[in-house]
Amino acid sequence: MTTTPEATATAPPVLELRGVSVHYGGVKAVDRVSMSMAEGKIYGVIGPNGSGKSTLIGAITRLVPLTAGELLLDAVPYSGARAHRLVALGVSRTFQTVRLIPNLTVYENVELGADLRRPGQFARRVPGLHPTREELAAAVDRAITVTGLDSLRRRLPAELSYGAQRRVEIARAIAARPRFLLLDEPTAGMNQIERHEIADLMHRLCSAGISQLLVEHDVQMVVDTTDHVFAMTAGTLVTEGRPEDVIRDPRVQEAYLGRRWRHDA
Amino acid sequence: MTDFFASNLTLIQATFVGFALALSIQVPLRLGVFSLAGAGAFGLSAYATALLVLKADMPALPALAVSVVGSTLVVLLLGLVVYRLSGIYLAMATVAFDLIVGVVALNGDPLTGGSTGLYGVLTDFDVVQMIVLLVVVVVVLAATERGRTGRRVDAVREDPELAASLGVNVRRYRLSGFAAGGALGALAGGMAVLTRSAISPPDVGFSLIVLALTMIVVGGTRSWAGALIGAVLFTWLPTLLTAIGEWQDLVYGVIVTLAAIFLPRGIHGVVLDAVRRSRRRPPDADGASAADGGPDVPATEATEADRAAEAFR
Repeated sequence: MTTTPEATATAPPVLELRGVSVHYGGVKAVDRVSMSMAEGKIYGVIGPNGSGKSTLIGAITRLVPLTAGELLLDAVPYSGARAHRLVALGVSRTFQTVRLIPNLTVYENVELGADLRRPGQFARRVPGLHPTREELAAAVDRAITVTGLDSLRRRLPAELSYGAQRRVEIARAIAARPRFLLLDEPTAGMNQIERHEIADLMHRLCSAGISQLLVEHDVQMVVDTTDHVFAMTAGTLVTEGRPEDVIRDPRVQEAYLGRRWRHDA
Repeated sequence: MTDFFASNLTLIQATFVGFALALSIQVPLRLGVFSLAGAGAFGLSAYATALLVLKADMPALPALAVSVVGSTLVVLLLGLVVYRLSGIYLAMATVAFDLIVGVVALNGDPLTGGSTGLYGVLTDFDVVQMIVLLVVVVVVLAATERGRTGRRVDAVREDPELAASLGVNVRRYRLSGFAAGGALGALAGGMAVLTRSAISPPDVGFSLIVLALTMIVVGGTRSWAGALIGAVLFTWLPTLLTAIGEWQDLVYGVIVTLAAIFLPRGIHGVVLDAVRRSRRRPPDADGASAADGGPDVPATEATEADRAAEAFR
């Protein structure tokens, strides 16, 4: 959080987007977006509803097909990889809405995240990807502990509060032991205390070496949590930089903050 | 016991055939694939088995094996063609396949015997062989309902996009389910002709789909046990209901309707819920279940931060 822009620029990128576009017919949901993200940092994407933030995460995780552009992980292109390969490459995500399997307990839902596929051709690039049964169980336990779900592990999703359900989502994503975690509005619908808990969790995960990309329309949350912010409107990247600089940018204020800033703060 | 067995042999055999047929629709459904191709595979395999026994003089088990493999390949090809369809559209495409099998059976006169069908398929196939085959099927299926595979099957059914983001090759799972449905339908068809010694177009018609769906709707859609419950119920019920004559169909319909409305997960689901409820302790007050699994450290910032830091390096 005390990172200087120079440090961000010099560190080698883990995840890189080059001219990524996602078009649906004539609608340019994401248009020529380039981003570079380094190890051990928390990045944020802000933008009003419909600015293409979630589509961008979908594109990075290969659930949404690219119209153009290239995706690179450690400078290796993966634009052609199928979505299910991403976990093995060390990229995990959460979704904007709660998506838990209703007939599985909290523990089993988190276990689902640790059920890694055998990595095959990418095995050489990410060491330790043939986990033993014990390692997987340990990863699940840690994910549950870190997200504060210890007392709820045998409950079914329907028995949990909304905030706890969202934490299960995060636990499931980190049970896969990702290097890069994409969070799609993890605090949507949460109260201030719960938001603080999530922000705190993100910092702890970051210090444990998990780089993150947070998509969020609550600007305060992004300013408090991230090292570097990308601002999007209408599918394009408007500006990027330190959070406090980005929110002062007149283009960002005009597109986005003017309508929401006072309300959210 | 042996008296009962001998006098009800036909019904016992029909129960096992019905069980395999019900599984042929249930297994793909567990992966969210609404494929009714199992009924078509039933027909293909029944005729293929009969022909192999009658024309090629093959013994029962090899004939059955060849028919099941062949029919499964046909269904797998169909699966590759209709893969992009889902839900009711997929169901319609597979029903079309089933109807085509019926039409071919009716009109393929020199080979299929036309409307008379094929008869005199006499072999040494018996109930013991049937039971052995079905036990193998159940063991394999039970393994897909538990642990890692079970969770992944649930994820593919409930939320394919989520499953993909968790590293599941959704396409492979769904195609496997499609093919497994074909294999199970083919097994049912082969066993049907080997136990009845005859097969004709009405035996491979639309009624197979209705029967299989009825069995799993009432028995349960999530487990092989549900299919077994349904198969037993709907093979024996008609015999028990002969006393009421023409009212039989009405009782049948009422049972299916009531099950669909009040037992969304079938009889098996009700049993499962009851077992779960009796096993489970009353829900603990929040945070009071330290004994549940491992130490429950109070969620203070310092300890959690330490654990998080050590947890990921």
